[in-house]
Amino acid sequence: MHRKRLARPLLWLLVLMSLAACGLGAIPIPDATPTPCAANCPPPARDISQPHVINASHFQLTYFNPWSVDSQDANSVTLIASTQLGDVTMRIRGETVSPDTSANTLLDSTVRSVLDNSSFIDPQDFGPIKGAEIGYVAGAGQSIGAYASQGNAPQVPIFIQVMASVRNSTGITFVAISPLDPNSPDPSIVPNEEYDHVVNSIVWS
Amino acid sequence: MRCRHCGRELEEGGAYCPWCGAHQRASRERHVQRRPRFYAANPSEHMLQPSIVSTLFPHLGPHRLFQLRWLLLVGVVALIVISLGKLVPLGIVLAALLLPVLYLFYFYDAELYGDEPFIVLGATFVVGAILGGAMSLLSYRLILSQARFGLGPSPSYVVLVGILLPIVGQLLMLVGPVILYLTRRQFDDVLDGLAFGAAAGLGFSATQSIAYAWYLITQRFIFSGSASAWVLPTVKIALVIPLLDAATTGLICAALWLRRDRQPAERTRGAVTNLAAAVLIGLLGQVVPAVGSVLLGGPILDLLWYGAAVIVLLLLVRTLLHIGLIDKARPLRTGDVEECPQCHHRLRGDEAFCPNCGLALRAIPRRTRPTRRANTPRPGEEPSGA
Repeated sequence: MHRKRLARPLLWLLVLMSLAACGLGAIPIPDATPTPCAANCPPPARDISQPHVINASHFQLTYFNPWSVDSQDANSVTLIASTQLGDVTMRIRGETVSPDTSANTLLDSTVRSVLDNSSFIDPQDFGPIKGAEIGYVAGAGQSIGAYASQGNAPQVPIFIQVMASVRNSTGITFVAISPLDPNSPDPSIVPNEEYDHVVNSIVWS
Repeated sequence: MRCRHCGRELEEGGAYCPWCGAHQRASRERHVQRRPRFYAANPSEHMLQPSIVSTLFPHLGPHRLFQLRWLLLVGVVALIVISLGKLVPLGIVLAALLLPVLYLFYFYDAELYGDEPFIVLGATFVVGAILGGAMSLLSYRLILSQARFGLGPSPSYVVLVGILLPIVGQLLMLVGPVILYLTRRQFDDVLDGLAFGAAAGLGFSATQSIAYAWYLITQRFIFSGSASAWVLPTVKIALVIPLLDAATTGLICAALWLRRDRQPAERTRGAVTNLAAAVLIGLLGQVVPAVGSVLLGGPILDLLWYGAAVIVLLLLVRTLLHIGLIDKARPLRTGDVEECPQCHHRLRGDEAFCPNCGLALRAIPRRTRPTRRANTPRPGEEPSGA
């Protein structure tokens, strides 16, 4: 029968596809989160010779290279730095809040607004950020994990950190979005150290 | 009785001309041959019915169409259940393979590869899969390096993911079918072009989806997040992306194969049958959904946008096939088909269309073409048992 004769090549094709699927494991598909060095990695050297100072209506902050300003208005600043796995961004926003607003309230509303951005899939709460403070004003923080959804493109993990502090009638929020796993960061940027540096440089006004 | 379109003599009572396919009972003259209400590859459907199965699997008879529809539905429902069970890696791999496996079954069942299964399957599925995997691996880091998360896409990301990569991908999907076109002249039917193009597109999309989801596939077997989070992405991988690739590549290849048809080229109507127009539509069919997807963001809008593009492309493919089957009608001339597989009307064996239901007989499964009724002799043979 004609069909029986055609069954053998089809069987071979399926075998070939199975072998190819097994062989996929050997293909060096790039890791989403590369490990820069095995152990005892030194912190990346930061060029502090040229500090950049930005003034907004509720705060002043200082940043260094490789960060640059992506956008800025009277109340907020967005800093951006490029890595192999995509841009890391930090958005610092100041606003006038009602006297009864707590850091936790401001944190919750900020987290909601970040996750309303529907370019994230499956956001998960990674827990509070211990010792969260902005400009040495104690506040609240939350760490979130999600996956990127930007067109027909690689699906990689995204790490979001949100902090909020309130002093008198001023609230400042900090949102950092990064494709870099804090546990195995990019060779050029250690996200948590960079966030700490910028957050600690903030001066309330 | 003479055909209202081609003027050839017809048997009494036929609804369609068996040579040109014109509908003899249409009330309006302009619909006589265009017969938009009766899709040439499956006259029980309207030409503009957005059916996945009867458009991309036109060689299947009514029984197999029914089976395949159910198989596809069960497959998608099973994938949704797997996603709700948070078995994300398993769901993604099965989703990427669902339509390619169904299409392999279609190739086998309808015997689309003639006497050269290795060449045909190799040039379509395998070449498409290899090129899809290679392009995805090479572009993986490049895409990520241009990504910015939570701020909206940068212009360079839109150009790369929305325009450049879809165009390059479409050109790569055409490589295998074009090799077949240049080297295997025995495949000369518009339906061959569609099948080869769709197969190459499905092979390409399968490996691309797996490569892009590699991080997810290599993570833990059961995810811990929301149960519903991965349903829409899985449906996109199972249906939308492969259908888009199959439709654009199938459209271009069908228009290419239409040029090879032995019938005079001037008979074909409509811009969609023009090769340059089909290539343009195919490229736009890749670029427009990709740009929209990047700019819109979010799984719901993403799926709706891609789904709308797939429906439009399927209708264009269907229109091209319909026009190709009617305008370049030719009888099978096997003298073997004696019963229409759609309506079981008795045939003479030299028709291009079933005079009863209007089915283009080139769209019947090749495996059914040699079938003969018991006790029906070939011309010149003695009846068995005589």
